[in-house]
Amino acid sequence: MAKEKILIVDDDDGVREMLAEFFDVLGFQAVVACNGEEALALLEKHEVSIVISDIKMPVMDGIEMLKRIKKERADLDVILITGYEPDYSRNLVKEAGASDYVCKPFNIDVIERKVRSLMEKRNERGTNAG
Amino acid sequence: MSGGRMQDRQLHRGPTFPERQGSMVVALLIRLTTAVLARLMRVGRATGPKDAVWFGVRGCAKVKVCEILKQAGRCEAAGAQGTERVTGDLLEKNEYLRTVNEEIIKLTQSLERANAELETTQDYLNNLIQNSADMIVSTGRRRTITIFNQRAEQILGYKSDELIGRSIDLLYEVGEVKRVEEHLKESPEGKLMEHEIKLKTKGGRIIPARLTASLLYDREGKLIGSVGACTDLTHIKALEDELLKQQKFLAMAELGGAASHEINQPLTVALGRIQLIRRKEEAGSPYRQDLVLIEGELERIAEMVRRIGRITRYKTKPYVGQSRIIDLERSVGPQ
Repeated sequence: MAKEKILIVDDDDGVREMLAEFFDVLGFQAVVACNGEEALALLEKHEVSIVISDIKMPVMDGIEMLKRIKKERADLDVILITGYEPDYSRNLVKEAGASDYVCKPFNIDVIERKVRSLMEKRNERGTNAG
Repeated sequence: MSGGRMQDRQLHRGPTFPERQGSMVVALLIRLTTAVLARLMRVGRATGPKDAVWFGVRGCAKVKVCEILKQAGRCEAAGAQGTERVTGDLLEKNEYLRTVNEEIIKLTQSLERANAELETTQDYLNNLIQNSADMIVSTGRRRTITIFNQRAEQILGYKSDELIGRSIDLLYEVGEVKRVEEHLKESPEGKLMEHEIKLKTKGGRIIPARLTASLLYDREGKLIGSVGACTDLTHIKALEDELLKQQKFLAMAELGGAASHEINQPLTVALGRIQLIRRKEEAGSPYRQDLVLIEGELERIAEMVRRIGRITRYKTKPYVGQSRIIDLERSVGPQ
């Protein structure tokens, strides 16, 4: 059975690699990109279950990338990683249409919980639709 | 016998016509002089004590009148022969007196007009001083206050009557007057521009003020005092302090934001890596306790960074010696 793919988008090598290793440990296949533009290109090649992306990035930021993803694949869940204060992040994420968010510095247990929760919801939607 | 009667007649005769005429002129002259004197005195009273010039004129007129009276005496003594000549002189003098009188009246009117103008100007200047938005205080030679306007009364709490004639030292902090005087003397023009000082109110409160002052000299160049205009800077200083506080806060918030952002990146990685290692380690690993400890410390740093990023006001607390540091507990949260 093929592993579910998680797309990790962050311009910081340390964060990107740490998250990639973490999802490998959890049994997912991590796909990584340095910015929004690279991420959009990878989405055309890979069937990704969830996108986890930083907001502040060069070339194309996380918000712009999210808007473009929603135009093509409205059902794809995106978790945004923000460095902003939680209240501001909540509003920002809501307006941008993200499924959820985590604030830096985050606990990887929290990331895992959010990812699994979104997958369950997606599965439920799939079951109901089927 | 007849010669003796003649002599008696001559000795006891009444006044001749020219003699009577001379007496009449003298009487007329005395009346005229009295009228002129009365007029002079009346005019003199009307002009008041201000006109030393006027008294000079009045004195001159008196001298003239005395001279005329002497002439009249001589006329009587000269008898019939001199009467005609003296009468002519007196008429001439009378005409002269009339002209002098007219000049005096013109001069008096002119003085009255000048006086009225002077009073108007004085009122205007007094209004300017009293209603100035700045405090205006002037001093005499020995630092005694000579002018203390309404604005100064409002700000410093004294009434003008309390201070006129008293030393200006009362209005300054100790040593401030000397400093101001030194600055004034050092200035080539004896002027002090926009100098910040501290004034003392009647209640002892110290208020910041901006002083513009000048030394005052008489026509001979002798120092006769000084005049100063002061602006109360209390409100401006409060605004400046507030602005400085805001600037400090803004700088601090920007620094906090930048620090928070920059520290977050490596902290996220370090924390994630520790958590990842902890997951990989088996339950009985000898490092597990250390990893939990490191993770806890990193969480503490993370919490501090979150607070720094949420600073909304500028509150400090004492630190080493006289220094102060931001009090994160009181600087974070709703305003």
